[in-house]
Amino acid sequence: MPDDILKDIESEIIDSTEAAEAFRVKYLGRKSGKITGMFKRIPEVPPQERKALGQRINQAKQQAEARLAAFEASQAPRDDAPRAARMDRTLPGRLPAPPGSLHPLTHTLHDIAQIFEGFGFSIATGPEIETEWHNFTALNFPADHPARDMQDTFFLEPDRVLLRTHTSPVQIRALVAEPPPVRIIVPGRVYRNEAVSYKSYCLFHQVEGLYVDEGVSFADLKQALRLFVQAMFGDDARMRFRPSFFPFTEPSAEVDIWWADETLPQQGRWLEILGCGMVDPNVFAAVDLDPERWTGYAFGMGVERIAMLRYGIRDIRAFYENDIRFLEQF
Amino acid sequence: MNISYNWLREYAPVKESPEELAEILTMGGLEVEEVREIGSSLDGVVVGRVERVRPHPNADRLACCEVNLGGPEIARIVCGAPNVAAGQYVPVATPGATLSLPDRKNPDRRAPVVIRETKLRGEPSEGMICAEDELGLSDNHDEIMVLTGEDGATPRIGQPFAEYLAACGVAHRDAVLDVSVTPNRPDAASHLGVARDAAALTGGALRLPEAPEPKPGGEAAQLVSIDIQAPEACPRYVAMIVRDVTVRESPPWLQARLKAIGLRPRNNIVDVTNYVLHDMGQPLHAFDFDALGGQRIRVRLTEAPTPFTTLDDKERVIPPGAVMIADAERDVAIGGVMGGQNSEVRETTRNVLVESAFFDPSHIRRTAKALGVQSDASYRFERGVDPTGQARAAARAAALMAELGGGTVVPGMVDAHPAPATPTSIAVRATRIAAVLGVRIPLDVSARLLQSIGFDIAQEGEAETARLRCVAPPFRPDVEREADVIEEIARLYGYDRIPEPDRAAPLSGDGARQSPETRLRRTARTLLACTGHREIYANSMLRLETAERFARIAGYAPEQVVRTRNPISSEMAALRPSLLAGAVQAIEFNRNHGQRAMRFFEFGHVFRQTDGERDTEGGAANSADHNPAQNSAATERYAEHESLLLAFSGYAAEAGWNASARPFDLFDAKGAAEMLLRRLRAPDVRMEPATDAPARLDIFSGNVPIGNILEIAPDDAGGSAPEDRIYAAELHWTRLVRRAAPGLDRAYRPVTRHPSVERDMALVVDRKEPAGGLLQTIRQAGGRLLQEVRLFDLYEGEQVEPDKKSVAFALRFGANRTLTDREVNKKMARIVHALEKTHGAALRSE
Repeated sequence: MPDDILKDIESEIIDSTEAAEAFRVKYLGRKSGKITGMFKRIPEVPPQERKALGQRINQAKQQAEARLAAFEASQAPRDDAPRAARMDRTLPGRLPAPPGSLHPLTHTLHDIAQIFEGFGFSIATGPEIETEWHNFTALNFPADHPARDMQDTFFLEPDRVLLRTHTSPVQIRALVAEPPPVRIIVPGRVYRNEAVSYKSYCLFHQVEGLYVDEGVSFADLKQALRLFVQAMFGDDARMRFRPSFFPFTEPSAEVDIWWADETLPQQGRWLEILGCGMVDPNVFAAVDLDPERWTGYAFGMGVERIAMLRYGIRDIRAFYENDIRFLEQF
Repeated sequence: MNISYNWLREYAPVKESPEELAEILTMGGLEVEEVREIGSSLDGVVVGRVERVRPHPNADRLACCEVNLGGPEIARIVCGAPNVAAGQYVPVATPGATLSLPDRKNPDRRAPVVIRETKLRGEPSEGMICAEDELGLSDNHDEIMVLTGEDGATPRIGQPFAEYLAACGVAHRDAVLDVSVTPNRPDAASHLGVARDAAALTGGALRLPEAPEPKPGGEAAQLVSIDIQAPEACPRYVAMIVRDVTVRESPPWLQARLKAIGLRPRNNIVDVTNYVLHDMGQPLHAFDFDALGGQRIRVRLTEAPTPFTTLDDKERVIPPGAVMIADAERDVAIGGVMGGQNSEVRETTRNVLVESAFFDPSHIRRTAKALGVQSDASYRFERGVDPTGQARAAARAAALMAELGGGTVVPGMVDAHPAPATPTSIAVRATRIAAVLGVRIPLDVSARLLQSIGFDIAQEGEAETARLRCVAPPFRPDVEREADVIEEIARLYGYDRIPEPDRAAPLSGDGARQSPETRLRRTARTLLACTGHREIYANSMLRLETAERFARIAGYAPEQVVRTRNPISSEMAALRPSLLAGAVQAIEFNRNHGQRAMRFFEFGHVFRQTDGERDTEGGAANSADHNPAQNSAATERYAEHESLLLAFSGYAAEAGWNASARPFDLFDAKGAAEMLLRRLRAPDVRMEPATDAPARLDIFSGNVPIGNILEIAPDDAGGSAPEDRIYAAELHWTRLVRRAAPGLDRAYRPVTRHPSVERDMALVVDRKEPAGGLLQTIRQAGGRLLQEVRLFDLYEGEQVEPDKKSVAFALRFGANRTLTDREVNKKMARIVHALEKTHGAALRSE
């Protein structure tokens, strides 16, 4: 029975909207449509045949619907033309959400962290309120070192509790918490009691690195930082290791990168981007590790400084003003 | 520190240019921050004699001079200097000469100017009679330079001026290297010290200045006695006496030396002390010997605050514990810091006592800091001078003073407590050098490097036990350990020559194992930035009153605000108790700059005092509890945790062609928090209206409070329009991470393939009935079959009774099988029943 109807459906002529409506009523009408009727009679056949019958009726229904759709499609250009013509396709689209942004320091911190994570360093963090022991004493700062002055450091309690002046105390916390090998980087906020100006702020961010194991040497340090500089600043970045001094490393170095600047007579200049060195034996002594067995390197860099270089930001205060016109550029 | 290239080359005859030398020193550990060329080419500048001077007819301040330059014609030159007079020998820049003239407004800047024949106020001028600053010799522009012939050379008419200067011992060109000296290199705070490194790094020889030291005792010891009452503060004090000097201007060569490094010449005696200080690194002081009473010098420590007038005419109060130099009756100098007015060298001084002492670094540092004075002397004593250099420097200074002042050195000297030679020897193992540096430097190479900067070296042992026995020179007090010596080897060998290892460090998976904290923070940041929020970084330090206000809002007592003892200003006296303060500032800043939509977030640490109660959530209080008493005990009074703030103000949506403007409200903050907590999969999150504040919700995960949502006015005073108010959610990130971390490694739940059933339900309830309770009841009664419930309509008005409202929910049921109508109907009935019973709700009839 549905097979006959297939032929009927095929042979009907649909050439007008009226004919299409008549066709719909004849086959698909809710009350007297032929196909509708067939569906209603399914329960009359034996259960084992119902499924197959249902499928055949469905096929007929789809056939009928397809013919209607074909007719409508043939009419569509004429009918839709006016609506399409009315649509102003130059109106702005709807944004799924207004634009958001990450802070430029987050971008820079993240990029630095990601490079060192790729080298096998894991991220560690520490408190911003520190003891003088972690911040200075254990890091081999002499008792009367100028950095311990009130002029340079914010104290909560004289000679005891302070706002950390660098992320290096996390070196101490990490070495105390678990035995080497230790391979960490430490992003974090640090504080210096300095007058606020375009080039210094009372706080800034650092990324500290520490790798302690058996057999770690200055040559390893050079390799890790060379790979970092190339990943961060490009494969053709020029860099140099320059001897320097920090109480908690020996030998110590500063790393400069060559920054092209055509307005300068030499076409550029060396810019210091990080300090580093081999962990001083006194630091190992402070955390009860044997400096004969363990060696290690440490490094630290200022995130603001690198972000200022990357983006050409001249005034460090811009990072903390949170002007949307600044933020939206990152 | 300024180092003159010419001066340095007297001791280290390097062939490199100033720039090349700067590079070599920098790579050897003495960073040169800047190289400044001083002086200018003096081509075309010649010596002339002023033959006649007559007043300028048209200008009171100018004079018309006739100057003999040795040519066939007398030059006519207009000059404005007050001191020009007939008969003077003067330097004259002739037409065509290029001088580097200072900018009158900014004397540090110079620009080349070509001298031309010209007319000044109608009178011809065929050149320029020069002042010292115009020749680059000093900053003096008060008068023209007059060549008196007393400077060691006789001026000749027509002589090139550069030749005349050279005859005076003055190089007209020099370069100044601005060296940044690290605290471990006290030896490098002098020309001799930098020259030593320069010679070592360029492979040249070091020429030491000759200064024969007199033997202690002699006539000098009869004229004065030294009594060191505080040997711990002053282990050594050397004095020499110079008799019958004439105090006058220093000769040009000495003035040029001092000017080159930025010092102002004063008189021959004081200039010599400055010269020797910058030459050898030993600070000296010259006393007017006749102003010292009782032929006696005492070195004492102050016991009480002591008034004292220093030679800069400032009245100071010297703190207790400072080193004072006194004669028999009174204080005459602050030891190692600055001399006193009462004994300084004046024009009338005839006899001079030269002090050359070693003061203990920490004493000087304390005194200089307390007084707020940093002199060239204190700078060097603080870092540690060569304890064996006192007699040498005194002898050198005394000889120079006698020479320049026409006096004689009193034979002998007083040397109180000469430093006993205590050379300690340091063993440096070849194996250790290789282990630390990662390169095998032959031991004899290391030995030669160390010898080049004054170390005494002996080699011992063979192969694995090979080592150097090193005695550091006395001017290197910083070198005490094997590690210190290895650093010296490394910097002299050249960091650039240390190769990278053949093999990389062993692999580690640590980098890939991110902590839940890091993972969740990155997720949150990305989600927030992608949903329209802008990240801000605010100052952690606030005005105290601001901090107290936000402490109250955060639910702490104002007394719990953490303060710094030494804030930069009252604007930054306290640490933030919550991140809200910074966001409020950012919102106000941007509103004042015309922004209408502000959606901010910030991650940061917040702080409070805990009264010794231990905060188990993290922060300083419970991190690694190792070690000395200072550790945990010191910080347990403070709690610190990471916080995440979301803040909204202004318009959530601007009017557009397809939308109308809508100001933010509390539900924007709530919705953002819900989105975030759902994405982080914090378990069992509840947001409960606070009972003590009408516009606050407290957020819990299980029973752990993890934050709140609130609405505040920008300041206590006003801002009542909805778009001026600030809506915020602050989350205790440290706790939230602890709650959400287990969910990071959750197992997958298979997706059911069976269709779900959707039903709507409209209720009429009392107007005061909160929606949250209805939802909770629906969820409870719906049980596991109820997959989702959504409040889709809220209505109050004509269609419902007064005091009632209509609330409509869409419910979706499902299970891991096909649900029957009966089952769903039964569930719906149960839900309605529960709603009726708990909330007095009634199904709304159509």
